[in-house]
Parts: sequence; structure tokens; C-alpha cells
Amino acid sequence: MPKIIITEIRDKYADYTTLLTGRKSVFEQVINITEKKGNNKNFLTNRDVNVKHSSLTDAITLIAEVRVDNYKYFNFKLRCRSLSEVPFFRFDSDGETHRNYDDSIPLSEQQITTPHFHRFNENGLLIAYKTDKLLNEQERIALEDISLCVIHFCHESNIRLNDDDFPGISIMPGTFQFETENNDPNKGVNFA
Amino acid sequence: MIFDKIYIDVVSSFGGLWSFKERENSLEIITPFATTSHKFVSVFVTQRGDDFIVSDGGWVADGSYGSPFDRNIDCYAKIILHYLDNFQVRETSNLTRVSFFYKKTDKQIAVPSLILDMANFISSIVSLSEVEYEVERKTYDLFSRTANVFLSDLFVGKFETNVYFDLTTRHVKPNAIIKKDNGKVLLVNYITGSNLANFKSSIGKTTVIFELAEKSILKDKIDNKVTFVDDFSTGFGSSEVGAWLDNLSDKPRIKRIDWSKKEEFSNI
Repeated sequence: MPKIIITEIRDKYADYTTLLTGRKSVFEQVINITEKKGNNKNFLTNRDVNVKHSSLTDAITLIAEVRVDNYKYFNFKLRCRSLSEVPFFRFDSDGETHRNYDDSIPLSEQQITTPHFHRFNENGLLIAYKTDKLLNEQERIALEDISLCVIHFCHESNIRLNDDDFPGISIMPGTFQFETENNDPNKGVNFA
Repeated sequence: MIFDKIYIDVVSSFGGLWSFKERENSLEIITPFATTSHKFVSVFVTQRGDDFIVSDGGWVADGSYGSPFDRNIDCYAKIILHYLDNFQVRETSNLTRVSFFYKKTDKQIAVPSLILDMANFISSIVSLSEVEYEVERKTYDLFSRTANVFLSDLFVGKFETNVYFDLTTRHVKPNAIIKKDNGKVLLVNYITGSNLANFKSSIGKTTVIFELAEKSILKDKIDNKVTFVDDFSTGFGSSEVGAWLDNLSDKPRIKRIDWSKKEEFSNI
């Protein structure tokens, strides 16, 4: 059962903040998404990309996943197993709508549709939010492109390629691409 | 009217929770119904001929709401049947055999009513899938889930779970199958249990699965068989369990790896 409060993060919130806001580096110019995700046949994923934090020695990995039939449906995650099994930061381009389960937020503002980022608050509660770019309709549409969105993700999580560049993304390089924008889940389903 | 401001706020707050996304020939309607995994329920409205369809978009069965959907659990399977029956929800599947739940009508006036039923159905089914139904399944599922995450991360693109080793007879379904670079496979079965009896039963099950694998016509495809032992579980540790585990590990082509030494998988 998924936990509501991630106590590992709540109890080490200062470390969490350092982990998230400190400058981090990746050293792969292109993140290749080439593998089937282990237990979910709908998604492709990358081999582990290591992320190095400027002041922490903990092992951090960057995970990118994209739906097999819709390349505009993707997510990025950052995981640091020495802190928690749950990824400590993520971005979802599409999919389900999150509820920020906090009574101090008016009900009508608890609903955060995708695209959105996820981070934890000081209580260890997962909070979804939209950046100004995601709230701007034209920019939101531009960020449906995973190659552009990875830059926004890196900005938001303070990751750079080497010093001041950003990694690229390549999905199934060298293969023939089938339909990759199936945005309608009902398409092809026989509702007898 | 007393509490009139609260009442007005309730109505407008709930009303403000409806939103939508256009998805080609379907409209995703995000509803005020929520799940215990803290997602708002979406329904997908489309048209087929004269019929309006309201579906879950396959999100319940494909785990989009962040909850398991395991119909092998008896109690949960009964709950699903109860809800399917009472909300008169139908089931079909898409091309990748993911279950879709839906209702349909040829009367446009009935669509909101169908949305109420579907949203209620989805919210209940997703939330109830998070209940820990049986004490023993809890230990097993926890280890199984943790082990799946560990192995799928270590063997990216080579790890499969919930699949048969021998598709023709369908007798051998280990917890995990890992493809090796030499074209062969590792069969991995998990051993755990919250008490002595459950742990022994888990060892027994693994023994049978591995014995049947050796009788399969595909046995030459097996590189090795691995027992992945949850040595942190409460059922582990007695001398009796030790003897049972030794008996299993003494058989040919079986390697034992304990969770506390899981890095041994890197060298296998």
C-alpha cells in the first residue's frame, strides 16, 4: 500500500532540500530510451543515468519513461535510494490528476492536472505543482516535446550536462517509428 | 438558511473540481471523485455509432492511479464483481489486453448518470485495491514488490515478471525471468513468509516450480535457477527453515541469494 507520508523524507528534510536544490550534473549527452519497463509493458525506459550532486556523495539516478504508443506521454524521475525508495522528484507530462491532500489548501485548488511536477513538502507529503511555463498554454504545448521538456526538468531540479548544458533525449534510436501520438485511450477498443 | 456561506462555498468548490482534456475522439472528464491514492478520477467519453461510451480509459487495470489491480485476491475479486453488478459496468479490453471498464447508452440525457456511476466505480475499485486483505499476502506482496523493483532496475530490459517460462504447457511461472546475454534465462523465485509455516510453504512452492522447470522441454534454455530469500522476514531464521533451504539449494543448478546479499545478482 502506498504510504501517504514518506517519513524518510520528512525526518531528513534538510538533506532532502539540499538534494533537490543543490547543483547536480549528468555526463551523458543523450539519454537513450531503449528498454521495455520491467513490469509495465506500456512504457519504455532508459538504462540508469547517474547524477552527481555537487556536495553530496549519495548515488542518484535519473529515470526517463515514455509510453510506447504516445511519445508525448512521459515522465522523468530522480531517485536517491539512500534517502527513500520513492523517487524524490518527478515530472509527469500526462496521465492522472493529483490531489494535494492538505486541508490548508482550498478544495478547488487541491486538484492539479498533468503536466505537473511532484515534490515533497516538509511533512513528507507528495505535492504536485505547475511551473509558470506549464501554466502558459503556448509553452505547455511546446513542452509536450520530450526533448524540450527535459531541459525544463533539468532547470527545475538544478541538473546540468557538465557545467551549463543540458542532456538530449532519444527514443528507440535507429528503429522504425510506429504511431507515436495515440492520445485517445478509447481508440481501437471494441465496446460491444 | 443557516451556514449559507458554507453551503455556497461547498457547491462552488465541488463544481470547480470538474475539468477536461480533449483527446482526439474522446473527452477526458476529470471528476471531483478521488481515490485513497490521492488522484482525481477521470472518465473518457466517446461515441460509437448511436451509442455514447463512458470508459475508465484502461487506467484502473494499467495501474495509472498508482494502485495495484490484483484480481487473484479473492476478497478483491468479489468486491469488483459486486461493483460491476451494482453499477452495471461492462468490461472489455484493448489491443494490449488491458481491461477497460465502461458503460454505454444511446440516450445523451443519460451520460451524466453514467459518469456518476463510472466515477463512483473507479474511485471505489482503485481505493479498495490498496487494502491489505490477507496478513500473509502482505508480507509476500511487500517482498515481491521490493524484489521486482530491485531486479527490474538491475536488469533493465532483461527482467520480466508474471510470465510463464513454458508458454505451451503453462506449468512454470516463477516470480521473475531474467534474460542473459548468452540467450539463456535465469529463473528466479522469491521465498518469504511472516511465520514458520508460511515460509516453509514458500520454499515448497519454489521447489515444485523449479522441479517442473527441469522437466520442461525448454530446460536447456535455463542458465540457472535462483532462490531469492527474504532473510529479513519474521519466518526466516529457525534451524528448520535452514534445513529446508539447504535441501533446496543442494539440488543441481539452484543458487540461493539472500536479500541482505542481493548485490550477488550483479555477478550472476
